[in-house]
Amino acid sequence: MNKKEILKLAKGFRGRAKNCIRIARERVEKALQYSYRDRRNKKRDMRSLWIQRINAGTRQHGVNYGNFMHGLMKENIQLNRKVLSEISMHEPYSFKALVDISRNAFPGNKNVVLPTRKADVSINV
Amino acid sequence: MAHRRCLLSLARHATAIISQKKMPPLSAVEVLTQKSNPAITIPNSELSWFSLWSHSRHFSSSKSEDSETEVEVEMEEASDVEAENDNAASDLGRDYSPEEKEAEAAAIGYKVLGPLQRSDRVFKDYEPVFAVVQIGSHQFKVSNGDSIFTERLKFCEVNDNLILNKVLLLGSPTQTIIGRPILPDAAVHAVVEEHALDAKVIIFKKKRRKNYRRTKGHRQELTKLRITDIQGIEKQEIKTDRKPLEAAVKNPEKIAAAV
Repeated sequence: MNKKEILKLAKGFRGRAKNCIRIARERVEKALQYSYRDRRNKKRDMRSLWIQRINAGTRQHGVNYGNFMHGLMKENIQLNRKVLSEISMHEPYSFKALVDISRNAFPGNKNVVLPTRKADVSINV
Repeated sequence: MAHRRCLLSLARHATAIISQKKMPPLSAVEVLTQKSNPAITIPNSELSWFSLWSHSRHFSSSKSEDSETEVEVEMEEASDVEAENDNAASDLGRDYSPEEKEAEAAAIGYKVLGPLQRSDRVFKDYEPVFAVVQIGSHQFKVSNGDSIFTERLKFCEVNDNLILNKVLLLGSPTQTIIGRPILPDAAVHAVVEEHALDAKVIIFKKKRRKNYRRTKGHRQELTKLRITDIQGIEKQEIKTDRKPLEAAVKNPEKIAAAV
């Protein structure tokens, strides 16, 4: 990569790293290394985020993430976590249906403890 | 794929927030009645379908390679460069002459080629129905009028009608139909909008103090699909006046549902 390309990649860097080639080259190389590593980390981070969202959605209905996924596996529902998190955010009724299926499939879920509601602003009445 | 997919998810958020739902507690009953049927019918239909294709493959292959072409079709997508270097003609020959093989490879990616689009009125207004469809190993939550980016789909050109037949979930304001794992009677129609390349990512590897530095550019091949129709679930009829804007169409639906 020649100087022009490096300085183009160094847009937005701090201080002399965006102007002076000797400093910019080091910072750009580090930035490219980080992007290589983070392209792999992003997949892990996104899956972790989806799991957190699914967990939050199911706990509103009194089921935790582990039991929910176990129930789905038993029923041979092959929805992945990305789509489950999208459904839990945007399609609350469909998500409640999934949670009910999982609760029925998993026998240890009869004692459901719903969280106490602070305000009556829930859609799932 | 990363850049384009992020933009799509933002657009979908904006449209999804506008639509609201009201549903009586019939969904649980619907789901339970759907439960037994797909589980029984799926394995029988899938097994018979694949066995049909395996029989037709033997009859249709007129060239010398019979069993080798099965392996080559799977290897084709993994090593395209090697195939081009060795046998450019056989790569095209595998696509064209055994048309059943082409359809089988399409079935692996869970799409079926329909005819090329003529003057059909395929693009409808937004309907509050969503489906979860699987293409290859990726799953998408799609609705009418969405555009999705998938891996490059072979055997289809621009302006082709596709049917995505691996549907995992259908949802509407009144029903949710959940497949175990897929729904046999559901179909999602899509049109190939373009075959494009993703933005360039620079692959840079460096070992410090060892004089090792490698730079490479990569552009992933994508296909942009526009979802036109979702079949397999009851949709509500809209009987109010229709305006060309999408936002105006959604408001009469809300009023009709509230009444």
